[in-house]
Amino acid sequence: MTQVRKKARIGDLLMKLGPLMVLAILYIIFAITRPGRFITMANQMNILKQTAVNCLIGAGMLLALITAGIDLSVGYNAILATCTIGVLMQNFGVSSPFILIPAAILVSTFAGFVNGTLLTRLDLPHPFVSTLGMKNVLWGVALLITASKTIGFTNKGIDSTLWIGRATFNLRPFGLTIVEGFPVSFILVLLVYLAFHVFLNHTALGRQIYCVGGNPETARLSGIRSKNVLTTVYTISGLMCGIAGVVLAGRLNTANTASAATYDTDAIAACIIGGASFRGGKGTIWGTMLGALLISTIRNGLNLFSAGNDIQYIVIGSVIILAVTIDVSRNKLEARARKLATI
Amino acid sequence: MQTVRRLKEQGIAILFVSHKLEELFELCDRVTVMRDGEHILTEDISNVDTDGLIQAMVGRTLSKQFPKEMGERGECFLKVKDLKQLGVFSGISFEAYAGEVLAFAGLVGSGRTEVMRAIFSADKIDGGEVYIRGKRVNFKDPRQAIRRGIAFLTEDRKGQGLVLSQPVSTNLILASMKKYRKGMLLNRPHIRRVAEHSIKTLRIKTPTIHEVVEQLSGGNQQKVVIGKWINTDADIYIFDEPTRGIDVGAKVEVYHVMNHLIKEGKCIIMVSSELPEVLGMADRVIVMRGGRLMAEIERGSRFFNQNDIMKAAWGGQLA
Repeated sequence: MTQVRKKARIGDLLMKLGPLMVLAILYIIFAITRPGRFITMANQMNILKQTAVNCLIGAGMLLALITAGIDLSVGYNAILATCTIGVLMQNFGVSSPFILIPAAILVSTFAGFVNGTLLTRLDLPHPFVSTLGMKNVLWGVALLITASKTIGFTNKGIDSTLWIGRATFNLRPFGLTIVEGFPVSFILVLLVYLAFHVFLNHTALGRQIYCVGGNPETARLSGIRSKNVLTTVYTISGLMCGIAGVVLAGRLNTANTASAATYDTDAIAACIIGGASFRGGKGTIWGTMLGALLISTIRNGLNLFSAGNDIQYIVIGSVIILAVTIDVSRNKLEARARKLATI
Repeated sequence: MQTVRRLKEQGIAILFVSHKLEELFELCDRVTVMRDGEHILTEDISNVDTDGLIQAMVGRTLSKQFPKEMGERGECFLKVKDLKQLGVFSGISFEAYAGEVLAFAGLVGSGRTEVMRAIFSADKIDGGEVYIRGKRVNFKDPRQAIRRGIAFLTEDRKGQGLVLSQPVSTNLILASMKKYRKGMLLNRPHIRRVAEHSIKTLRIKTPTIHEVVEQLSGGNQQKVVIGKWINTDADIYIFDEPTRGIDVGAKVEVYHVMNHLIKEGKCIIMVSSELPEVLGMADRVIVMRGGRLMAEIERGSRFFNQNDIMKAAWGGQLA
């Protein structure tokens, strides 16, 4: 009996460490097949740079998924934040980062608040409806305010606003190079994720988010204002899109309404790979980071093989389907492991 | 049951799994008792009686199926006047006192649960007044009802009482979370102490406080819900079918918890469809039928018996 239990526990552990192991295997494969190109300081820092935006959007998406919801508006919400910076700069001549950054974040946060309000006050059946609708609304607004034109940020005097998305730093104590070109945006990610970790595990609201996701009726009858919790969740998701939008401005150097294509699916994939479930009630922030890193690594590796966008879409799409399949079988396995554990 | 009997007459072997003892005696020829995953006994049903079965199921002798202890009736905690929900119930007026178990009897669908949900503000009402300790209250949602000292153990513990995917500790503090705040954060050692205290006093069988409640047995899940409400330190406990779907041993433990609450001067309103339970534990019974109150019977009254309560539940006059 104890042996069965041990086996179940090992299976459970494997499931939890799964993404980490896949990441390790990918590293080994890419390191062997692309020697001297994959494992270089510059390329590794590049992966982190590419991961930052997905990490930020994914953090908000995670909250929505924990409540058994989803936020499909994240991609265009982030783009809208970038476009807000562009329009304020171009049409209103604003150049102060103390106006541009708060304005972008405020616009996205408000969009998130609208998402939550539509869901909870209109009693829409599923956030799929409200956020899918908002995705189009936000896209339309972005097109409207930019008059469907791409706005370039190069040499426009707003470099201080773009700093977060652009800047890197080096760590060279005593002339010994440890890290070169570490992206500031990833430092931001680490800070945000630390805050999310504390928020989800050590605050009442964080616990309540899991409970509302696990059973909204129980939560309501236990005195938790489920609607307020949900509205807060989508507002925070909007906030994260705003921050991601600011980083995007620095990374892309343009405000382009056509560039949101993969942000929403990437964020969902990062969360699911990291252990969140469409059924709600679970998921961790560090798992999401792992999921985001995994996706960036795959993209990066494919780039090194000079695979085009076509192949990348096919591979990432397959990974998402695989991750959901694993999520489903993981649920079954966990149920089995728990059953065995009670023997 | 008739279907089962018919199948039996056709010569089909039937394995009937149940913890309702009356059913077994009516239906079965032989009985097997299992406990904690082990086989305890297999006997012809004619060779065993209720007490023997209970003893085999629980593993010890239960001194009494209903260990009722009388409390001391105190002040009026809850007064309901002319409560009405269109098409569901109307003219609901009653009072509930500290130190008593007030039972609501009646057939399924007589509106008992709906009245309780309305008092708890889980559903809206269309008229009537609710007073707590003499003060008129008008709750907007369950949160306000909880703050004013009402606890509501629902009949559907999996759908409305527990978050199955969450650990025992989280479920135990679900309705009282703001008590464990320290600044902006939750005071985890405090939560741990409270959860461990609940597990000890309610004798909840769980490996750790971190186990997800989905994994507990029905009886232990029910104790977690009871613990959740006791941790809110409420005055008025509404228990809707508190022993539904749990084994005999756990039932008796629930009754002991009720005794304990009564001794502390709390008020218990118990909705129950099991008349032996009503007669065993209640100080007073209100009988409902079709959304209306039919009768109010004190323990000690000559109507405090199974026949008269059933009569009232079917719409008969007590005289």
